Amino acid sequence: MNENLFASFATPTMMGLPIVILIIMFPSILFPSPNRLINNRLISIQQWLVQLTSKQMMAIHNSKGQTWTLMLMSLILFIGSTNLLGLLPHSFTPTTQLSMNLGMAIPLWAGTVFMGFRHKTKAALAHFLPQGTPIFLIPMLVIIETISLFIQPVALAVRLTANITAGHLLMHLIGGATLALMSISPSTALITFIILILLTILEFAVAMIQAYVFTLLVSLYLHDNT
Amino acid sequence: MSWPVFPPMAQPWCFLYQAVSAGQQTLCILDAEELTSSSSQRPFEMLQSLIKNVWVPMKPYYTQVYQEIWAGMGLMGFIVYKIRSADKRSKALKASSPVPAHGHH
Repeated sequence: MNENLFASFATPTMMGLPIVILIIMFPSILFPSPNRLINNRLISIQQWLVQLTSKQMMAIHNSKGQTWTLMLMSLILFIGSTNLLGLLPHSFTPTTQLSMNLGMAIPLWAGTVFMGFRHKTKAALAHFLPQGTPIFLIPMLVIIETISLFIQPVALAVRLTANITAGHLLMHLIGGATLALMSISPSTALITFIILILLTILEFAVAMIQAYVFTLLVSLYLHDNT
Repeated sequence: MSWPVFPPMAQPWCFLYQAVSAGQQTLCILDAEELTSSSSQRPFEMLQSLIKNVWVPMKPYYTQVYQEIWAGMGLMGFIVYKIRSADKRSKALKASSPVPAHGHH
């Protein structure tokens, strides 16, 4: 049972060939490109959603920060669609892999930090010491702020990995428990089935919230550095 | 500005035509060969399409906006290289180290 529980997180292969690249590229075909001024309903809804999200997310940024709109919108669409597709039974979710999430978090976080040091060096260095710190606390606080800076990409990646992985594991466990209890006690199986349904609804919300949180945090790091 | 296109392979383009002569109707149908590009030009055409549809619209992003992200990707590549080499080193060490004398408890 333990082997079955973690088998869904193994990198998928088809006849020995890794197909994880295809799985990562798959959500992009679910977002059709608008090719007319006035599009069909599906593309219009997609455009409306993207516009709503981008307006809400990029409103706080100055002109320099708003050059990252395309990147951040692509990020939220990718993570959201990947997480939601992972809720299909027997599917593989790339965002359960820490390597994938670190691969997204480190370049984006480093990009914001380098941008801050390149364009606003004094302000970027000033982030290492909060205003109003007593003099005798300065060395310790600089160390703490440095650690908190370097922990940011790790926290971004681990947060997404842990949330999605934990949700999938719980669904596996409770689904397995429901199946096992059906022959023993149908009433208890019904309760666990209701819990499974509620958990699935929660996982839908978590999938979208985690995409939003990841993108929002990158957006906040960008705002601090622009 | 028209986009420079690789010239397609020259194929004779023949078309259906009717010739009407005095007192006689003549119909001549010649073979119509479709204008196709040969298979050797298709990779160039794919590259052209890639450049036209991806590189041209995204050029300001890739060259100016994302400069720091490319630097971040370099940093990530360096971290990945360090982790992989450390993993390889530890696996080689484990393989070459002798089996401990005492057995499992």
